[in-house]
This record gives sequence, C-alpha cells and structure tokens, in this order.
Amino acid sequence: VSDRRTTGGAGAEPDGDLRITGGAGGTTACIEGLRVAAGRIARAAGCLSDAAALVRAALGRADQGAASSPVTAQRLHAAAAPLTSRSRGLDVRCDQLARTAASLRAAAETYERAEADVVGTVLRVVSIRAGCALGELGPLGLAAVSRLVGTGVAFGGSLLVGARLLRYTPTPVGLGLSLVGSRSMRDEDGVLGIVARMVGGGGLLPADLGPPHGAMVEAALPGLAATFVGSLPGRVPLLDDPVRQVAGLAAVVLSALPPATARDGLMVAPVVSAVGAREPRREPTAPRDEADLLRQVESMYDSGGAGTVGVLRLDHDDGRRTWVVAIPGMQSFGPPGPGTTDLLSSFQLLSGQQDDLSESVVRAMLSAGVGPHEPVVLAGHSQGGMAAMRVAERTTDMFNVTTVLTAGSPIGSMPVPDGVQVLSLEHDEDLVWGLDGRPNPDQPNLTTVRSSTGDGGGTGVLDQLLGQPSDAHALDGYVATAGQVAGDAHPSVRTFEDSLAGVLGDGTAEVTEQRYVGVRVTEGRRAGGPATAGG
Amino acid sequence: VDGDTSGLWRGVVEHLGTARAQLAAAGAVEWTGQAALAYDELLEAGLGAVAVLRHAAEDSWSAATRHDSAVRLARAAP
Repeated sequence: VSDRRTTGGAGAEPDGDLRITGGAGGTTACIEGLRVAAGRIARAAGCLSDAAALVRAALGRADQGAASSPVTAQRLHAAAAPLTSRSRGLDVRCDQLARTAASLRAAAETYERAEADVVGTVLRVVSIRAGCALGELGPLGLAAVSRLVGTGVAFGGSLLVGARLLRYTPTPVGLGLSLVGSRSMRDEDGVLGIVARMVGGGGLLPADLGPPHGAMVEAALPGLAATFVGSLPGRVPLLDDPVRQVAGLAAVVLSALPPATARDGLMVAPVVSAVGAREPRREPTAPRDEADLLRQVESMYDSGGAGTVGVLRLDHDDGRRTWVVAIPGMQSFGPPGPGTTDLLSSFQLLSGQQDDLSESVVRAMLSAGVGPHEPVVLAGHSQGGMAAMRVAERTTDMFNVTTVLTAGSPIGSMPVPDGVQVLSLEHDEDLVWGLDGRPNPDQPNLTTVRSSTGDGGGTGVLDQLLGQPSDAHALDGYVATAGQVAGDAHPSVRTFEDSLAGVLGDGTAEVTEQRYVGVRVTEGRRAGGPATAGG
Repeated sequence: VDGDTSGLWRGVVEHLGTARAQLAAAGAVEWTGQAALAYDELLEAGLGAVAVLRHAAEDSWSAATRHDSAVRLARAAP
C-alpha cells in the first residue's frame, strides 16, 4: 500500500462568511488503501454471486425430491427464503456491494485528481516557464512586452472611462449603460456583476479597482519572480520556487547594504517602562480566544520600540504553566536598521534563510524562562506570523509549541511541524498573505480561514506601493475576523481551539507579561541591561 | 446420493464466510472525513446483511440435510 495521501482539496467549505479549508475537519485518505478496499468489496460481491448460483442449484436439486418429502422440501424453502428474497437476498446484496466497490474506486480517482490539482499545477508551471522565457528576452524584449501591456492597459482604461462618462449622456447607449451599472446589477454574481461593477457607481473609475487581492498576487507572483530571475545577467538557474529564490536574492542584497549587520550583533533585552511614563501600563488579562491573542499582538505595535515581542506567562489554578508569545508584523520598510521587524527579516523568512526576528523570539522565550515541556501558543500578524511558523519549526527540541495563530501571513511554503495546530486567517482583499506565491497546503494540522472585509482593500495602489498596509491587512480587521472564528462549529476550527484551550485554559490564569525587544547592534556596541520602552 | 445437496450448501456457507472476511478487511482503510463516516456505516450494514445471510445459509444446510435424509428414506421404503 502506498504512503501517498491526500487531504482536503475539494475546495473551500462555506461556513457563513468564513471559508474554511484544511485542518482536522478535512479529509485524509490513503488512495491506494481505498483501491485495495474496493477490490476486497468487489471480491465479497463475487462470493455472494457464487453463493446465489449454488443456492439456485441446491434448491433445484432438492425440488427433484419434493414429491417424496413435501414437508421437508417446504421447510427447506422457508429456511432459504432470506437467501432468495428479492429485497434482501443474495442477489440484492451482491448488487449493493458491487455498487459500493465502484463508488469507492470513483472516490479514489476523485481524491487523486484533487491531489494532483492539475489545473493549478499546470498554470503555475506555465507562468513560471513563460516568465523565465520573457526575462531571458533581455531589456529590449522586456521593454517591447511592457509597451504592449501598457498600450493594452491604456486602451482598456480609456474605454472604461469613456463608458462611464457615456452613462451621463441622454442617448440609448447611455441609458443602457446606466441600466447595466444599476445597484441591483452590481449586486449580481458572475460576469454580469463584474461588468456592472466596472461601469456602475460614482466617479470616473470603478470602486473595485483597488489593490490586487491576495489570491491574484499569489497567482501572479511566481511568473513575475521567474521573469526577474530570467532577466538577471548571466545564466542564473531557475529553482523550483522562483518567489523564494528572488526573496533570497533580495535578502542577500539588503544584508550587504550599509550598515551591514552580522548575526552575532543581535541583542535581545527586556523592555522596562520608563519612570514617569505618561500612560500607566495596563494590567495584563488572560487571553481567552483567537481575538484576544491578536489583541496581544496589537499591543506590541504600541509598545514604543520596533521589534518588541510579548511573552505572557499563564499560571493556572491546577499548577500548570503555559505561555503566549505575541509577535508583531513588519514595522520598517527601508534598508536594514536596528529593528528586527523589517524588510530584511521578511525576505529572509520568505526565502527560508536564518532571520533576526525569529531569533529574537527564541531568545525572548529563553529569557522569559519558557520550559521545554510547558505548552506555548505563538501568535503573529503578517511578518510576525511567518516568524511564529519559523520558531515553531526550529524549536521542536527546545520548546513545546502546540499552537500557532497567524493573521495575513504568507506561510504557504513554510513547513508545519507535526503536533502543532496552525490557524491562518486571510482576508480576500489583503494582498500580503499572497506574497509567497503559494496557497496554504491542506493539512490536518493547518486550517486556513478566508473571509472578505467587504471593501476594496482600503488604501489605494500608491499607498500599497509605498509600503502602507491596506485596511484589509490591518490587524484590527483580523481581530474582528478572529472574533467570528472563535467558537465556530467547524471540525477544523474545533480541533484548533482544543489545542488552544490546552494553553489558555478557562481564562482565569494569573498572567505575567514580559516584553523583549530585539535590536541589531554592530560589534563593539553590545551592552547588557534592559531597554527602555518609548526610548 | 441423487439429490444430495449438502455439498452445495457447504459451498454457500463458505462463500459467505469469505465475503464476510473480505468486507471486514475492507474496513481497515486510512480514511477520515464525512465520506469516510458514510463508508463505515455502509460497510457495517453490509457486514450485518452478510451475517444474516450466513445464518440463513446454515439453517438451509440443516433443512437440506433433513430433506435429503427424508427423500432417501422415502425412496428406500418398499
């Protein structure tokens, strides 16, 4: 029997506004095992068929002596009645088993097709190959293609603006366009709805024309990355995952920018509140669910220093000690500086290289006294989610990380360790989770919850390009989504929450909060002692 | 003996025993999810049905043995 398995794969399961894929509520099947079982059921059906033939022969032969002993013949027929019954006899059961065997074979084929995800794989390979070939055309070829695409976009844009202007003219065409773009048509699904949203609504450009959604970015990025690799001078071999490859190159380039930061120049220090701080520090409360975890992450953004990581110690009534680690997302979009939540860490995490953010988290956990057997939940937003996944993967022999919660994080190419339950939240309109160019795999311990924020992504294209997170990527939106997910009855969510409850308990634990900040320092400037919040 | 059906009924019982064993083995498959639950129920119903059929076959074998003896006696009588 083959070890090949398939999980989930049959598409998202709608659950209200939430679409949940993967996790323990999905399907796991050993495809070869299903085929073997189908063969056994078919053999069982064959046995019933043979038995039915023997029964007919036996009764026929017995009937030859019925005249000599009619009473025993009658009793024999009565005893054999269940075997010859038209509703529950051998023939009927034989047919039923044969149908079951056929269904099982069909199920195996369906799972095999889902596992292969032929369309997705082909599109990915084609876009990577086409992108690489495009890149290899060189600057002239790229310029020609860019001009072609630019002309097409300009033509389409002017056509769109023209159509939207025509709506206001008292002509049959204008009337028709007004009807097509009416509110009721804009609410339609499918092609008609898309066209209606393009020509309807206020303004010169459609409201839907915001930043690209995560799914679009996820689909387009492998091809774009392959184009970049193909356009590099010399013969740079295209690796299996061009997005990782480009991220790795970007990390190398960023690391080389001044001031260069050696790994041994990382310092992780506890954060203490400055005397006379303007706002008194609030008393930490025990998190109870996914939304509370993300609120903990949110509070890291307000801690005064980039790269601050929160470590909550939960002392439960029964004597157990568990931990919550909150990791914020990227806070610096420029060249590498002292803060670890920057672009360099993002590229390192995307490419699978060692990074300073997850190193800071590990050192913070060690400093806080996280024991090797004490259950830990890691929660992270955006880049923080990637760091959480990396920490869970690299500390399997150091800590007992049982649960990871990520919000808007590109974790599709990051391995999930056995025994760790992961919940990944993704807003449709958020483009950040698509930056790895890979969908989250369907695994029994990785549940992905996708939902829509109901807007066009918030801030405009320019803001996205300048590095401002869109509204759809903002953590407060993910806190709201986490609130929707909490307590959901879907089996995958339930399994995740069982794991989470093992850490959070009933919400009555005594909480001790510690914060640590990871700072890159150059050699010779390393010093011990705590960092000061707000300083 | 002309009309002796004991061997045929033994064959019926043996076939049903083999069918039951095959169905029981078909249950040992790595499969989770809603479809797997439905499959388990279907298989359990199939095993139950085969058990009923086998019981009927054993009863029929006994009845056939008695019938064969009765026919033999009737034919042997002057």
